[in-house]
Amino acid sequence: MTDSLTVSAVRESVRKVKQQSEEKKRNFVETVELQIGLKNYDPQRDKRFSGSVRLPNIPRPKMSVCILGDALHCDQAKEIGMEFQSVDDLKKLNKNKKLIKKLAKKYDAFLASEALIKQIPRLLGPGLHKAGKFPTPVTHADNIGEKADEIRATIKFQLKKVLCLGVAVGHVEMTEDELLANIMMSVNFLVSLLKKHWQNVKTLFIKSSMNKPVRLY
Amino acid sequence: MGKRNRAALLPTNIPQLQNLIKRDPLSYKEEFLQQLRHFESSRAIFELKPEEHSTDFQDLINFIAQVSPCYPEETKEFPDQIITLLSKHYQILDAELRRTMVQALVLLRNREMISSTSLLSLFFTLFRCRDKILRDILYNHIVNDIKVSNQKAKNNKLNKTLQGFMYTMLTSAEGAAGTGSENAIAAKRSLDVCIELYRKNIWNDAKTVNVIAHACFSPVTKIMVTALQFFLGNNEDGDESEDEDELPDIKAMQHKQNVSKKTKSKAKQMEKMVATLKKKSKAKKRAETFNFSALHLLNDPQGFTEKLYTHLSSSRERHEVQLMLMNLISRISGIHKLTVLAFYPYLQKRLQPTQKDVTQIIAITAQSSHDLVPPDVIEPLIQTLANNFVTEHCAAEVMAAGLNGIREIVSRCPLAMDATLLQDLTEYKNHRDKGVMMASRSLIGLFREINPELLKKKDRGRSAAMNMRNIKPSMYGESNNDADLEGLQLLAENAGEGGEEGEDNWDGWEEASEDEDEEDGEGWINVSDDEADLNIKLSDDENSGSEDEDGNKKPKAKRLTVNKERRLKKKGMLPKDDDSETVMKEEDEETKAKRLQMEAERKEKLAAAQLLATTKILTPADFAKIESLKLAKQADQKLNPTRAGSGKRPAPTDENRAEGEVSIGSIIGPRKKAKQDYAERMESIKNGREGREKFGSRKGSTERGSTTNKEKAKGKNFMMIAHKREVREKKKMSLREKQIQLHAHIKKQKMMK
Repeated sequence: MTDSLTVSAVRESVRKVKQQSEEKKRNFVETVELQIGLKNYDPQRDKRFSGSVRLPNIPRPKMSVCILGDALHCDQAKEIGMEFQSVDDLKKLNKNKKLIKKLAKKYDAFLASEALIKQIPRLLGPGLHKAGKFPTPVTHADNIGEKADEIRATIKFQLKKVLCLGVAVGHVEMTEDELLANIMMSVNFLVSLLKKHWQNVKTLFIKSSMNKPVRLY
Repeated sequence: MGKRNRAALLPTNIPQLQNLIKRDPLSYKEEFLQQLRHFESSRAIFELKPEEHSTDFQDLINFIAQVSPCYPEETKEFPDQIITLLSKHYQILDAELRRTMVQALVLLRNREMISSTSLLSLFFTLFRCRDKILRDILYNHIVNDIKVSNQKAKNNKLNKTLQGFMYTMLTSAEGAAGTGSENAIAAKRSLDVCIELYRKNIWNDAKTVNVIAHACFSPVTKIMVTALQFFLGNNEDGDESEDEDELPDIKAMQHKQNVSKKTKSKAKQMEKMVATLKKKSKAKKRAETFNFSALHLLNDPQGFTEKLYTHLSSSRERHEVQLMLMNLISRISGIHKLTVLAFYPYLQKRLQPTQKDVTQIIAITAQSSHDLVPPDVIEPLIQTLANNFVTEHCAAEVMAAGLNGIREIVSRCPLAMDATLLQDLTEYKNHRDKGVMMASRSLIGLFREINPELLKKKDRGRSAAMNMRNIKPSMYGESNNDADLEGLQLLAENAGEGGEEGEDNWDGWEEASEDEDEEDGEGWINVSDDEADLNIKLSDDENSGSEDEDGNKKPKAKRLTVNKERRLKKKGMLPKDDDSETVMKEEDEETKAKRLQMEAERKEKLAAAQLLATTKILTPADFAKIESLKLAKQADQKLNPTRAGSGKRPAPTDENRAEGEVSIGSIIGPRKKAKQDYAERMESIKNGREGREKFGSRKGSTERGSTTNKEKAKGKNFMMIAHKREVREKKKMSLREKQIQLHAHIKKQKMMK
């Protein structure tokens, strides 16, 4: 809580993170993560916050999205080369917990057709929700490609059992400006979620997968 | 001679010896060694007949435990000997002797002569003894010991072993449920220890909670109920009052120092007080280890709940226990948004007005519903509630409970309601009973906020009808995004130039840069301060003023005229869709065009907000501004609903959704105070009689209202009675007579004693 957070400072640390990752190239695209430590927050008394926000740039382009769709959506998915599962595929799982877990593990997020989503708890049981991957509904009017991108761009802040959280806000291949925009957006959103705003924030770090964290705040 | 006597007696007078040893251990070493040998020999004898009571042996144990710190070398073996004795024979030992041994061990432990791990494991087994006092001693010692050893830093190693031990205790109780109640009692007490330590914030980790969770499936009802109560009970109450010692009143002290005489000692006292206060406040700051409520710490809530449900559906427990189980299942599934689909039909069976504790069951139903339960599972529940409770032939209380229950369920799971049922239920908004009426109206109020389209047109209300296009009920499984962009939009509208002066608003925090901040730089820390509020508001006014001058929004005047037109329209021709008049159509088109325009505007605003969010770090001042802008906007909406808001409203039930608890009070609803029945009247009469004197005369009572003449005479001035015979004769009495009288008096006094 010693100093304030300025745009130029954030830009500086973004630069630093990018530079760090360039010094030693890895065989994969490193993700940039925002790590937050909270303070003055009593999770028993204060409301636990959770919120999701759509970032301007997609932080995880490789996130695999699968659609649990009816016939129309399955066809659409085939056209654009997206992974999909039809109702019959789901029924084949036969409520087998292991298979459902496998399905949940295989993909990072799910979409489901509007008609289908209500049956999901019956078809698949609690497995998907347990993994935190309950599908997002899509209607026939929606473009599923766009919808999948929206999911990829959306990040979720949720307080778990400890007073700190971390979210992926970008990757090192992004330009400095894009990364900066994402970080700013997520910081602003997070702070707006907190009850006492900045007074609840203890630390903010950004770090790429294989490098040291850089302190923002 | 007296001294020699005492010395000769020493071997038998143990308390005396103890006293002397404590004063001077070195010179009484011989005597001590003698006693120790005595102890050894009597221990050997005792081993042969452990069930016998022996005061001598008991005294010896007590004595050695007391003085052992003086001779650590010689008594090295002593604790182990006692521990082996206890662990070998604890079932058959004499109760008093056993207690002495335990107390000796506690004493040794308090003096750090034994490690707590070895001792505590023994103590847990000792819970099996059939001795209530002993168990209390053990319980208190264990809690205290763990508390002390965790005081400075968490003693993780100890905690882990102990938690493991508790777990074995609990499981052992399960295995031997049929055989012995000792195990059950031991398990119950170790569960108590766990719970107490959790309450005291000493063991506040997930492991403790999961050990307690395991106890929920104990076949012993008492253990199960304790664990259930732990999860259901309010975790906040408890030792808060215990921890908060009365703080010295520093203000009063200061005042006293100003007023009364100033002495050195008083000044010192004052200093001390300030120091303790400082220490306390520091301690408070340090104690920032927040505990998550137990329900959040469960390892596998879904599995746990499913197991609980199978336990519930197969158990033949008492009704109260079943209710608790149901309550816990619903609480967990509400908090973690679980899907235990079989639970809902189970509840549905019990939703009958004649069911015992039906209000509680309705509350449980409401708790267990959340937006991830498929609506077609909740719908039958609502139907049953409506059919069984909300019909004309039911009593008013029943109807109110049903309506309130439906409201609570639907507020958590809005998709389960359809228009026809809702409109049926809202028919009761003019019911003659107040409870029913209010319940029905609260349902209307709820749907005005979450989905006005389901309501009848006349029930929607003005602001909801105007807002209708903004409120989009979310689909099943949809989570709404961008919850707070609204605030940003507001900020973007009001402070177009925010980007430049943004950095200045941190000033209240840092000391250094305090250059050109004209606005509310310092105001943000204590936003509640009137001054700061005023400050911020003033700045807002400036902003809005400047914006109007800029003219990038519609001119205010035009807006006003449009409003007026609308209002006139409403007054003149109430049914809006009456399209007999052409004027009306025109106006409709006008509004349509306006709507389009507004849509575009909204998009623009959203983009602006996005831009703002990505280019600028929001400062505390900005947040304060957003807050006040939101307030202003709400007020504005109330005054002037045509300028209806562009953002979504937050869900109205977010506050009570946080903890996931539904109170029975909210199901019953406000109720007219019923007339007292006979029993209640008699009760209140009895209460009134308590502590009152009996009516009637006080004749014959010992305490008199008046004094006797003799008593009066004692109070009289001497000159008034100096001439009396009794007084004059006293003066004339001879010495002998006086003596006799004095002796008689003394004797009488003695007899009175």
